[in-house]
Amino acid sequence: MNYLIFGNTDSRRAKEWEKAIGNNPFELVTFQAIASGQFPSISVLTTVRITSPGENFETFRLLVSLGGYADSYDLDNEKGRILLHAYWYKGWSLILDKIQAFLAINPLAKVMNDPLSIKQAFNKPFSQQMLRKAGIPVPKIYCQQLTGFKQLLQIMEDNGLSRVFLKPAHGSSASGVMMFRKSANKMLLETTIHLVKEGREPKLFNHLRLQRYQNIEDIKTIVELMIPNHLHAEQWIRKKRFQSKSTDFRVVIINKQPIFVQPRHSNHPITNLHLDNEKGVIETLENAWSSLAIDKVRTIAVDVATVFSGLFYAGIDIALDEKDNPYVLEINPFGDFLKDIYIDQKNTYEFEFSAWKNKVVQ
Amino acid sequence: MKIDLIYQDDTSNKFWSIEVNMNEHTVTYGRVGTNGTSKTKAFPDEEKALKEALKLAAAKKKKGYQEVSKKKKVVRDPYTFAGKPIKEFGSSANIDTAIKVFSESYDAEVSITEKLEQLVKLSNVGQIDTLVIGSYEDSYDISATFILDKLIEHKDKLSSLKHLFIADMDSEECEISWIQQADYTDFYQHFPDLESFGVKGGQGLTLGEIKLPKLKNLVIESGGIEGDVITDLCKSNLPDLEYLEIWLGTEDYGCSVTVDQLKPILDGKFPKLKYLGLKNYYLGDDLAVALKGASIINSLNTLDISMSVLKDAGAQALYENDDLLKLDHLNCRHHFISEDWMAKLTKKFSVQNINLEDKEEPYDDWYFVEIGE
Repeated sequence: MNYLIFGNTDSRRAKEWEKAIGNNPFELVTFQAIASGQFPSISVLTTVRITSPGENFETFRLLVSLGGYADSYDLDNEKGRILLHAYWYKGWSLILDKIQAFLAINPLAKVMNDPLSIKQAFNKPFSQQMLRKAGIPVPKIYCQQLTGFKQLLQIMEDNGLSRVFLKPAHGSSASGVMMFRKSANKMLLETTIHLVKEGREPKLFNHLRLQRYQNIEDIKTIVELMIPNHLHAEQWIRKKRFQSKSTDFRVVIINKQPIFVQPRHSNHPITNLHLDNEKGVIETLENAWSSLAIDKVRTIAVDVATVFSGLFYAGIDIALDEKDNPYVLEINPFGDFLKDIYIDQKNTYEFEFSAWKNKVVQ
Repeated sequence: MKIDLIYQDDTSNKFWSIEVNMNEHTVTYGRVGTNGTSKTKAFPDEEKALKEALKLAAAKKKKGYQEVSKKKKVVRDPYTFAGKPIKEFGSSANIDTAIKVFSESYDAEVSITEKLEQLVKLSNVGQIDTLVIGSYEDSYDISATFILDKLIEHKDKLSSLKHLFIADMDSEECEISWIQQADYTDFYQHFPDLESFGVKGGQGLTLGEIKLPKLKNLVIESGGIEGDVITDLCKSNLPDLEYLEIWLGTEDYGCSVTVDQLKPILDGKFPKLKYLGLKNYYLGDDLAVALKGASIINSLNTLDISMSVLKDAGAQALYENDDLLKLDHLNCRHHFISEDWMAKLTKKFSVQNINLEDKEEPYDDWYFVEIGE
């Protein structure tokens, strides 16, 4: 079997996959090639893996341009800057459509995660709705798409809320996620968004450290700058604690099986591991909480995989609240990349490779 | 070689230890406070016994056990208060635990007032000696005064109360600077038998003169407290105070405490102190300098200046202060001390006696206390 990957040449994920498949024939096709319709011809059974378009400025420029952003060539390569999500998503959807069309005329090409499911998963309010319709518990969404800071305050007022999560529709890995709280006379916005006010216009960047904003003007600026990126307001779920740390799970499902269940602990509610949060040990939690609680996490991960049946693998973030009710927080078609995490010396990609071969052979 | 491990959570409070003697190791385990059960196992040689012991200990740690030496004896941490594991109040009260009464700060279904009413109706309420008040509905907007009133209302029922903590909330339940504390001036007379007293939150906190003749442990956790709190404290006659922990905080969160105001404490205002924690202080360096010649050091076991903005200037002052060698433990965890000065301090005080964990880096030239911003 041949192996084809759609991704960036410098992609860590592409490199890991190449390692996992061993000596099998491997070819990488860039998003630039896809955009101009340059697909390889397929004459033997070929596995197609679509991987993340992130972490590459040229691809970002390509996607926003495809998405209709006219001034893409004036963009500077500002590392970590958060902007143009909506254009990016449109462009990304177009690329996925092209891949879909390519697959349709090449029955020998077998895609691991199908483009439509990827597209759906990259639209958070939409994918959450899919899950809700399937009876899977997800946080309540108070507003699908915010229009401004004033509206946000009104929504909170109308719903009697003092705290809310704000999430960009097309982001991943906690990028752009905001925790917003207000009391009678105070406000607090906690987020990995870093507001830079130097120069003509304020800019937003991703930061590896949680930032805290208490000044209403800063909070307003950040929220308003995030509005064009499509922001929704979501219920704040207080995650169950382990040793007084917020805890949730990144479950990697492979062929509908919850193979990796990775607990994550944090001093604040954002638990993503690249933010220097702590990797937990599942046995510890089964011991400290109950295996029943952890089973709920596994079960719900399988339910999510069933709804997103076009995804052969995915990372699913699941939290339990303090009463052990599970909630699905996110499904990420590229969330299977777990750095330095192994089961029996095998990483997620190696598990995927074996499971995939079995599936295709059948 | 001996390793002591402990496991504490809502439902358990147990220990596990292993000791290697020649080619044997002995495991002892049980509930904290009991002698536990011992089992001895022999191996072909000492190396094998040691190796196996380390392996067993590692497996226990993986299950959530922690080393006792790393769990320094404190009056309060997220799991314990006054030596008892904190247990959330449901429908009954286990008097061997620190009973935590709380309601959710957001979207509470049952108010804390109702929970307190349920508590005082229990048949064993008269035996409760350790009580922790946690978050309550809308904690970020409402002063804790009504809780004090409720406790005073039921003071006859709570006649055994010896250890009390008010406003034990984490930052997600309520930001430490958003907690609305209370005026305690007239509170003490209703609970004159308190041996441990603790509060969290500096906003709205008036300590008044503390009239608690039996007080042994006092804890004030804050992101910033006003100088008046320290002045009031230093007016108080607390002859038996052994443990004093204050998170002083940072200016942004309302700390106005000067090092001068702390002088009476350093000069032995509370002669029986064994533990002094002046923590989370933005003036950590100045405090370290002020320790020079402080008479309190002679009687202390532990001096805790952790969580603070402590830099090389402070490190140098500590290094040059030979009195500090008398301490069993000097806690400087969360600091900004350079590698060079860390090495010097470690050499002087030895690894066991000084805690230099959590070296922080300034962030855009900004040095920060651990709790606060």
